[in-house]
Amino acid sequence: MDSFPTDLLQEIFIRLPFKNVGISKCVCTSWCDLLSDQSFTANYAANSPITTVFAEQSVITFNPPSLLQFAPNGDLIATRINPKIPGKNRYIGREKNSTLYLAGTGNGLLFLMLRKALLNLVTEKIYFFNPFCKECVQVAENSLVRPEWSYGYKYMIDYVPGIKSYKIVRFTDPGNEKPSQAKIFAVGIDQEWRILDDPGFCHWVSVDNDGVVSIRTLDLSEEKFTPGIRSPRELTRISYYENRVTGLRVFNDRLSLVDRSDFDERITIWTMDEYGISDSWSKIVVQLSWLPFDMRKSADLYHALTILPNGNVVLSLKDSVELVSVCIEKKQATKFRVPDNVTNRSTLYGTAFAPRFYPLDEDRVRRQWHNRKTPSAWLSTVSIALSVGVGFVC
Amino acid sequence: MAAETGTPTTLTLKSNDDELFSVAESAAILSVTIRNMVEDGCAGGVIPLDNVDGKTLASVITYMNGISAIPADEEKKKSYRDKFLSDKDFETLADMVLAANYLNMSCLMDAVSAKIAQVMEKKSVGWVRRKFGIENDYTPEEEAAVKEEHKWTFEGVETDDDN
Repeated sequence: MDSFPTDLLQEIFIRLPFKNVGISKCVCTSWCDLLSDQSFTANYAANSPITTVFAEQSVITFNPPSLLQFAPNGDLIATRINPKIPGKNRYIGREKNSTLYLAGTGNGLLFLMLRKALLNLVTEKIYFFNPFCKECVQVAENSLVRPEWSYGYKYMIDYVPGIKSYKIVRFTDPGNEKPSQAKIFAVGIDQEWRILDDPGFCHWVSVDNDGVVSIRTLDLSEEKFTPGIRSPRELTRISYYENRVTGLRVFNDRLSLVDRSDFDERITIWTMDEYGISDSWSKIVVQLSWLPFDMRKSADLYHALTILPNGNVVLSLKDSVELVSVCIEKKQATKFRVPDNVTNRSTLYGTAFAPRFYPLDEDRVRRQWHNRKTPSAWLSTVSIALSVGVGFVC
Repeated sequence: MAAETGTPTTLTLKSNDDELFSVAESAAILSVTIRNMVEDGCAGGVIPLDNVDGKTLASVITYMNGISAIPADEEKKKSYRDKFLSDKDFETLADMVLAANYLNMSCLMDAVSAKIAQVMEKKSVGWVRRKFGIENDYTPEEEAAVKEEHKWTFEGVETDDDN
């Protein structure tokens, strides 16, 4: 057979599941070069019909998390990921008193947070993990003492092009109407965590005392909090409890708000078609009555995992590996067959994830990390409101 | 371009091994390459398709006729494509993806590329090399290194002797 033109090979490669890209790299040097090129990763992220989500499994079972890929033909491909402690042959998160969380995703990386509690001290370590190349790099560490570690908290991590590195923000919520606080750390640049001035109530879905909803965010390069984005008109006022079941996600590169406060009826997904334009909210409604009878539970027990390229909404059910794909147009739901390597009795959470097929610029990420002092405990008298952020479970 | 009359216009396509095929214009213009020729008025006689052999062209025409007979129902079209491609071997799929690219038929391109990707899913490195006609240009050391690096991706893949 004549050799394939490169553009046709790309058409095939973007349709390969994650794992097969690895096998294909072993075929010959030109395939390896093509697949290792950053432009292929960008092409895969933009055009692959396969939707990848990160699935965190229940912490109780100590099972490693998985990446799930939804192929257009309805196949579900699961790949276990086992992040190892850098330089050691031990897996992260298997020790006593420690729990591994997903703090976000970006640039083909999973931002993992390992929280370890020992007596009166809590340590949080941030790792960047590239599931394709199996690289794991520790990029930041936080030591917290009482009462700080008992507060609600959340991480936000993103790449900042201006500094060609990542910034990590940790928000804390002491509750009781105390002001919010946030501290920031630029990977490879900062030696210590810095306190962010005037974070205000800087959670993503923000509800003020009158129940008015808005969405706030942080400009990581300027380190300034932006004024709120107006929520959909129908959603302008919600109760405190309703806020607990309303969360932000990103579906198909669009900021989305998942409202699960209609417990017996429906899950409403609002997506902002044009970022920052509050008139561009559009709504997708999943009626619970469309779901298979044995999966019909209260709306707040579902996680909206992803929206597939064909518009189907994928929901997962709390404390189970049941997955269902809902076709809005036909008002029909189909169960996914969950692969055997995803263990029972775990909850699947998800966040959209585009893998990368080339290694991290480790030098940049590691630079200074090994030389830096032990981070000082962050003691603060003031602190924050809990935020439910993009890339987080809702 | 043919006038809108009651009788459907028929085009004659010629493969690179000189086989002639008649096909309804309405089906043939699924190919943007052919549609452009028709619109430019170069489709009066025989349309030569220098990059497609007779066997592949016959298949593509079967597809053109089949898919254009289905009304605008994406699900039915998808199931037709799945069925159409289900019994094709790798060589036929490879010829079809090249033909679809030359004829500029995006729906066939997408479907065949996806099918090839699906076929590759559990196949070994050796299988891929044989089917794509690729010479292994790694040195034994390089090959061992690249395979070690991606070892985890080999789980559940068929083995073969020269893998």
